[in-house]
Amino acid sequence: MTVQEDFHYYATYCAAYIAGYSHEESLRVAYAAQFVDCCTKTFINKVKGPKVAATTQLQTELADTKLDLAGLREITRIWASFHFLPGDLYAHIPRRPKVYMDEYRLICNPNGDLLVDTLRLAKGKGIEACGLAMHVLADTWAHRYFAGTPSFVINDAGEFYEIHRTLDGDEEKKIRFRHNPVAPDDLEKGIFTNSINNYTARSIMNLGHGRAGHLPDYSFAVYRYVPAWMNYEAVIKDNPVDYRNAFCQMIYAMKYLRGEHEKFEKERYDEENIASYSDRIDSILRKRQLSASEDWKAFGEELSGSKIPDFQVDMYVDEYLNAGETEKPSTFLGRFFTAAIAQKGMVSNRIYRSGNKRAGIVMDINTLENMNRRRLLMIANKTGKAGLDGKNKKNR
Amino acid sequence: MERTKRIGNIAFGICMLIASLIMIFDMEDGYRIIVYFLIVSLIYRSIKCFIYFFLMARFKTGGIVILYKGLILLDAGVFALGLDNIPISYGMIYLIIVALLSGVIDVLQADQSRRMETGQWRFQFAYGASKVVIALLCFFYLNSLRWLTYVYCAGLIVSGVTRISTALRKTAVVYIE
Repeated sequence: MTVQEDFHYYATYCAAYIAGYSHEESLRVAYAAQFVDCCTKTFINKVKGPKVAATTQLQTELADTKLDLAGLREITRIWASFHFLPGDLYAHIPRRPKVYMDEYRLICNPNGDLLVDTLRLAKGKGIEACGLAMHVLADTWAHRYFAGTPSFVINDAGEFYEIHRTLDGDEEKKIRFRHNPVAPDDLEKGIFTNSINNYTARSIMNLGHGRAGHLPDYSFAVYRYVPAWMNYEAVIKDNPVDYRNAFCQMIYAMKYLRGEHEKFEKERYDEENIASYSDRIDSILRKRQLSASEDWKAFGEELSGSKIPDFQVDMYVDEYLNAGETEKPSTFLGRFFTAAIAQKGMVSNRIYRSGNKRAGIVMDINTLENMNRRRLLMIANKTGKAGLDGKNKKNR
Repeated sequence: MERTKRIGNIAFGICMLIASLIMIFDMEDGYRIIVYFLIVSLIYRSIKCFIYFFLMARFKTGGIVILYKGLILLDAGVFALGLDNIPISYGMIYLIIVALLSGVIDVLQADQSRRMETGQWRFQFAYGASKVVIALLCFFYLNSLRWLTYVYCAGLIVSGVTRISTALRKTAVVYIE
């Protein structure tokens, strides 16, 4: 069970149910949201799907990725599109070179223009696209202040201090990190796993929130640190508040996707619908534990009165494998792959159009006719290349 | 490891092997090649640090460390420029000190990795320790230039082979999803 499963699967189920989806629909939304953390090239290989639809990378895949320009762009396309959605692609700081700003502008933050684009893209595309968008939305809150690209000057961080809120006031405790990936985080002693300190500009160690370990993924965590890009100023990351905002924004966003709101507006949170569960949700978010899955699951089952099965990554594999070539796109995985390719294309193109080549150039599947769309998937399937740069230029 | 870095490491390792073999058969020429190689390498790395600092790292919290790194490398490179004009035995002392410092840094880094429980410290520790031992042996043979050359060349060969094998090794990644 992964750490994020509690929020991406169980909490997303709760939000979907509150937003008005049925139990079955909510399960599919939650599955799609969690599946974003599982849809690797390795998995796609197994089901013989389009490799360009990969939404995450395994450690072994990252180790195999060459950190040349093409490799760097592939990593950025995946991580910026699905896990670290940039908050402001046109951020401006005077007297900073473009090469620095290209990395700075990829810092993830909630309520950015790209979030609105993500929701617009998902509207009318079905449950799978909705779940995928919910993952992206939730991560804008959890992963804020980090960028989905390997960057020493953005993602490196100094010391972290966990803030314990007590009746007598706040108490700070220095967090100790280790680099043993198999050792679980020790909440009692305040020992967490993070990536190794590396001064290389584009080291994988400086990708995303690796230097902060799993701290951004714990809803209870409140901590203070100095981000590399913050000009020696400290930030306090208050996860319980951020996660609550994420939960309420997910409800609002899903209502938009269901057609209850005409347009998706930034900084709108559906607090009304959770008023009667407010204390319950807060208590789950603030409970100090490695995984809040059981608590969210119990809450979800109380909400719907139905049992929530555990997340099984292979749940829809047989459906996809047994479908004929023409039926595959309408299966759960087929629809998820289409949504993933569209999201990756949209985000990468927005980054490119902002004058930033860090994510390379990717064809936007939505601008293609059905014929070209099928051809695109075929080429991606054959080549396994996430970067469609050269191959498809002739299709434009 | 980046592909360019891998290629660089392999090329560097091969050059070390060639230089050490030349040095065994013709000490003066071999010594000069090693010195020039060291100068170019140090100055190139310092320039890279300066460029990276002025374009990127000066805007980063604690990024000044990149500037210090560049200055130290440049200083060492400029100092090495004078090695061509002094007797080989004195020049060798400088090379041995460089090897000793490099070995000590490797050992310290390995120790840090061990304390951080990375599980990947043994190789670096053994490599650093071997450099330290060879450097100390070199000091022991300072009076015999022939033996000093053999020991130093043995160290260079070990370093060259290690560089090549490191470049070919698959790097383990610790990444938090």
